[in-house]
Amino acid sequence: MAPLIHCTDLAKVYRKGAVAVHALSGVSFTIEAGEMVAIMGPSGAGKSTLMHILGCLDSPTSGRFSLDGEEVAHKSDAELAIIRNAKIGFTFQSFHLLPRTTALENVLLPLAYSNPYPADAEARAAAALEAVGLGERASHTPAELSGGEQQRVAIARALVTDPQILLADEPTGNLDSVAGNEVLAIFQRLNAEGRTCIIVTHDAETARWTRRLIRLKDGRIVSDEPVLENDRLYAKVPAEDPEAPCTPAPS
Amino acid sequence: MHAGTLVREVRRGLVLAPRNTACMLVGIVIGIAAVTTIVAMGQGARSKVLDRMKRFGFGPNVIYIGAGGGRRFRARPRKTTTLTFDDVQGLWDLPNVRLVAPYQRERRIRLIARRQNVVTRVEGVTPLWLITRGWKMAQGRFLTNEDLRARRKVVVLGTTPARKLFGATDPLGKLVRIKNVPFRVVGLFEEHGVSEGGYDPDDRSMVPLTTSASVLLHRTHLDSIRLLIDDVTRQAETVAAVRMLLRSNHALAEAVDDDFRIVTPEALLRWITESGRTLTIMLVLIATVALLVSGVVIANIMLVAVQERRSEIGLKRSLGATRRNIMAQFLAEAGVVGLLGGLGGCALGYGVAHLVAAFMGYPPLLSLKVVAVALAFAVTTGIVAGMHPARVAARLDPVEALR
Repeated sequence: MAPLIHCTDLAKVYRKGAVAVHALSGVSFTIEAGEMVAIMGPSGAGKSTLMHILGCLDSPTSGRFSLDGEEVAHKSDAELAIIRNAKIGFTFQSFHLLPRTTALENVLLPLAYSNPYPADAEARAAAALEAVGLGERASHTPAELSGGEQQRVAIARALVTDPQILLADEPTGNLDSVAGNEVLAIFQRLNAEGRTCIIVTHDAETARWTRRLIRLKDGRIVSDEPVLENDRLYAKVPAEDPEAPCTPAPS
Repeated sequence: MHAGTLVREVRRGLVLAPRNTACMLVGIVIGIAAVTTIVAMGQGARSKVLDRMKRFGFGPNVIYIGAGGGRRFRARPRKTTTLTFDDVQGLWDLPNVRLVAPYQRERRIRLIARRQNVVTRVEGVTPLWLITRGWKMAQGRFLTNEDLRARRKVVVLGTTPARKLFGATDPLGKLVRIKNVPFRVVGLFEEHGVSEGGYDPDDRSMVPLTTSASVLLHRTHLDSIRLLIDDVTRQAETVAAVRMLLRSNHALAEAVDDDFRIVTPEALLRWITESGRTLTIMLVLIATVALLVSGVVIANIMLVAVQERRSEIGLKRSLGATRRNIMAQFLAEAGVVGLLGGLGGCALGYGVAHLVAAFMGYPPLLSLKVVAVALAFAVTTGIVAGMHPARVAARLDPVEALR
């Protein structure tokens, strides 16, 4: 079977007037289904650009990128939208929840762009909220939720279309460490359930929650190695707190 | 895109920036209100005119002569006493005139029965009145030549005063006092019902013209004369002959205006269509300017809103919304603004028309057709205005928009 993500020699060049900025150059890697990967690097290293390409929000200037066995590097805008809707679940640093809209309605939003609209949309949204431990807060608006809860709603929104890949851009960037760890624990559990997770971060602590770390610098991959402490971190999931929304997944 | 979500998102988009929405609405509301006011007034006026024509029994063979100068069939500027029985005599002798029906009236006179009293119109007419108007009797008889000759104190009632005076009991043969003179009720008209202009044709009582002139109104001048002619094709020459006769009877010098008005159905219809045309031109002008202005306002506000909502657009794109989905949402918002503005405009316009009507004396009319057209214009304005902002929103690069 083809790997879930296969990139060959990806490059992205932005033109700013006469100056060409090489955001990515010669990036090649493969991610198999079920992996949990961190993409890390200082700002300007090209990790956002890479995430946008992996998330089908942007196309590479050159190179090949196949997703789930399908070449997507040069697909049309409308085709990419369909792929994003079906195969990718995004979460962002600033959550991007619709204000004055209940958690449930926020989670429902991606399904509105699915064709056909699923008959059990509400049930799926409710289940997604349940999966992040917010079943009770479905009717709350973002203003009534803590930062951690907002990010969990965003994860539920990413999950609701049952995508193959969860793409998280600095998911803990706006959270304190407790809430951040909760969010990372959710990603870990979802990964343990088989979901491929890719977390883009500049923070080494966050990266350590994953199993594989790809480091970028100046648009190139400088290292790609397994995260060794990972097993220890699994045990660090807040087991001392019985109320914690996530229980450590058995490895 | 799922329709329910579209509805919810449009509502959210409009509620989230109430000031923007209000600004956009104001333009459309004012534009549509201006148009609906004019239409409602115009239709009210028109229906009043048609109403009058109907109530006057204005067939093509009718020539109406009103006392007092002035334009066409409008209320005369001052009381005129020059239209008299002599004119009636002269008119009978003109060629092509089949019959002449003189008429005088006083608008508000109190009628008293034994227990009840009512204020109604008292009219002095000849037996020919019934022929010129084609009315029928429900009970009893109409006035006769005998009544006229003997100046009998008999009265024929419309259903409105009859009901107030006598209730369910039979009014025939009963006595009614008019200006302290007892009149015997000899007939009851068929009921016609209140017209849509609010005019009640049944609110009247009729006595012989000779009686009204000598006993009730104490005057021999008339308020109007109605002619029926034999040959409709010769109407113009008959009108000219009538005019000549009256001018010479009234000894009007060459430069002096008529002290009477001759109204024919043709003239009336011409007047209606003419004023209809100027009204339409004015309307189209006002509508165009108003909607153009509100369209520009909407386009500008939405363009700013698109910039303010970049992250929302970026998010939706990342969740799988296509450019078309984004475009649809903004177009729908613009369309809904148009629809709401149109509804508000119709309501406001109708209200203003009522206010104006209070001074003008006829009720405004707003037909469903007009409302539908106004709404269609409003929605179209919204959507056309929203086209450019929606395209800008759809073309936003999702990566840029998410930043």
